[in-house]
Amino acid sequence: MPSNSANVIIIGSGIAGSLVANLLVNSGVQDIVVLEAGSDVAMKDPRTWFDLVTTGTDPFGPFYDSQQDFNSAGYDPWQIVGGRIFGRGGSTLHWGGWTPRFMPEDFALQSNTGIGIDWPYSYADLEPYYCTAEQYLGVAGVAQQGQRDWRSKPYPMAGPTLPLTAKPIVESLQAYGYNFGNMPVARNAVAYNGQQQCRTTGTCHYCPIGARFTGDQPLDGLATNQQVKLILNAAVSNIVMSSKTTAAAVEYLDTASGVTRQISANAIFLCAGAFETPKLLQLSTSLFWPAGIGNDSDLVGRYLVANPYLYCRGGDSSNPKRLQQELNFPNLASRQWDTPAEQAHGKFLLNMSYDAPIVHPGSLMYQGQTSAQIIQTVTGPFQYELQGALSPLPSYNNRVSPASGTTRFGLPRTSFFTPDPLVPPSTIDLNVQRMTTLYEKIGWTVSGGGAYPQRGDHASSTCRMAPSESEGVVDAQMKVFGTDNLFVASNAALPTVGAANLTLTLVAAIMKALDETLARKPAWA
Amino acid sequence: MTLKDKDPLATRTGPSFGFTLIPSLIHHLNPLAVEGAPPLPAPDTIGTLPAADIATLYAITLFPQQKWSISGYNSLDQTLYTNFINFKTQLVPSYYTAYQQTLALYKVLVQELGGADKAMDYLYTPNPTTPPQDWDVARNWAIKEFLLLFVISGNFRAYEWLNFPGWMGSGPFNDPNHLPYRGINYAE
Repeated sequence: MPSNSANVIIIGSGIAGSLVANLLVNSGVQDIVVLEAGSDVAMKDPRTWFDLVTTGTDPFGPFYDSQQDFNSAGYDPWQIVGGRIFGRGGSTLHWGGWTPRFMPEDFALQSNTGIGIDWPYSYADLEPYYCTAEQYLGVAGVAQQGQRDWRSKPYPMAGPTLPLTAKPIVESLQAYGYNFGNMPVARNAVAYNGQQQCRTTGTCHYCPIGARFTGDQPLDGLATNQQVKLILNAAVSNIVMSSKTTAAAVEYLDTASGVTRQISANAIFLCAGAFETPKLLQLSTSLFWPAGIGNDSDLVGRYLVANPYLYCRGGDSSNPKRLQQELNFPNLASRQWDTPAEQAHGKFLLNMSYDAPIVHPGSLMYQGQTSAQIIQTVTGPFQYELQGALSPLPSYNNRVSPASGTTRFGLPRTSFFTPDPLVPPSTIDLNVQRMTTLYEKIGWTVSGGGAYPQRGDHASSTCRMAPSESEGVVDAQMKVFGTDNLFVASNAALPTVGAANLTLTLVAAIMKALDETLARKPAWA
Repeated sequence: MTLKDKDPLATRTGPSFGFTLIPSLIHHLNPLAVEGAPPLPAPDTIGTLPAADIATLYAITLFPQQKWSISGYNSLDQTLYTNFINFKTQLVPSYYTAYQQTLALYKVLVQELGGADKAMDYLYTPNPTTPPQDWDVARNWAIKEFLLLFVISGNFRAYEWLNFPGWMGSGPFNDPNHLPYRGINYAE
């Protein structure tokens, strides 16, 4: 039976929750409880890995949202199956480890374009924390001279050399004079933070040796720490306020036993991502907060954004170099269009993926093909997919909220209402055309392009950081406006996002917020 | 040959930023997984196969070297292979019964066809006119996976790639002069 009190409660054990737990422990904060709605996920497990490589079984399938767990309506209704993991360590268990920084202009969207809101601080203010975040995650990268996301320290580790597969696209980028480089990745060029060196197994989705950062690794480091207790299968349903300003306890359903429990605390950190965090705030109604905590201005859950994701396919009729995705994670990137000039309609971060045919000789052998037939496939027509993320433009009308019913994780179902597009349709056309010209430059045939259905990966801004309660939900230290001890350390708090994967920026922003919070010496710390 | 389209999973959900290859990767690792297959027999029955049976399965697993004339690349030694079989038979869902049925079929084929090589060749040849008993189980739960394991165990190098998803014998990426994959400066 869990104790019914703690000093600090952290809701969510993903990259944010595990980070907050580590930062608090390292600052001497005691008696911390981490509540995770999901269960344990077997990582670095040989049988799981063998099943992945011999059957294709996705290790994370049981931990994903199902189609029944949400409703979507509006412009390009959201599709979130496969985007997030409910389990110990959260969604970084399956992430690709991409860790680019935001660009300086990403912190000033409103000033530059009149859209959305500015961050309460600048790139320069966050830069030292970017360096610390890169060390925490173990980022391997290749610094570029004159890069606009300037850095005061080198990457912790050297990044991978671009694969031969990237060469045709590099040649095209060079012909146009466009910039390109390596995507920084949280993969271990050398043994790092107690984890092994990457052996380029190409099964990064489920690294068999833990050579890519995952959210369970910091929790492993806390496993024997007496000050931190992790409770799995704990679906939090309510934050109890003892006054308008004081969060006093949380209620959660122990989904293993079906029993509802309550734990009191002196401070509460909501680290439950951009969907569950605003849903919980909206559901935590009381006399003090009749519309939900922090929701007197009706902003909780609004300004929902994620990166629209574009593709363009092109290829050639023969493949004499036998190009395949040998490295098996995209690491060629161009930030040619991730610039202030593009900000008002959506910036674009380009990357490249070998696409088809994906040749597994074992499968062809199973079909009874001869060696000559297999080689014919290996050297025959092939296709690439240029891809890229757009920086989304926030809209008040796009919102996430609780829906009726409960998921198998004991959490309320989710409702997405997104009547406004995240970028103008012309931005999609513009960038597909840009990708098309890259193929044309090298004489390849283009076979189509467009935008993928909108996913929820890297959703953010649903409890956005702002100067005041009338413009957002949390302050610059991620504390919910109007409260003294309730924090949103989550993607939900990011005011806006760029075209880059937001994970590194989230880690840096949490580090900055906690640094400033702990410096004020709150009673619970 | 025509280019295959995006696999159905990727088309349905779109790629996930940061691990854009994942639906393709899963398809890559076993494109045939989407096809109908007989259920894994007795998945709750765990057990440890005798060493002699594991040795027989090992020989069957390496037979593609002979059938497809691939030599000099294999890194799957019998110790590693025994680990693989034990993980498959001693944990649920267990392949213990599936492997026993495969071994029984193999013994019948050896008798009927007149030798081990002929029996193994038969197992690796699809669509027999009259499938023998337990043929589907052996093909779907043993041979198919053995082929995928065989390829990722270094034998993909027969096709001139330096690296392949699932290859555990690869090295780190931190030395540009000794990359474990074909780098952009690779001598063509």
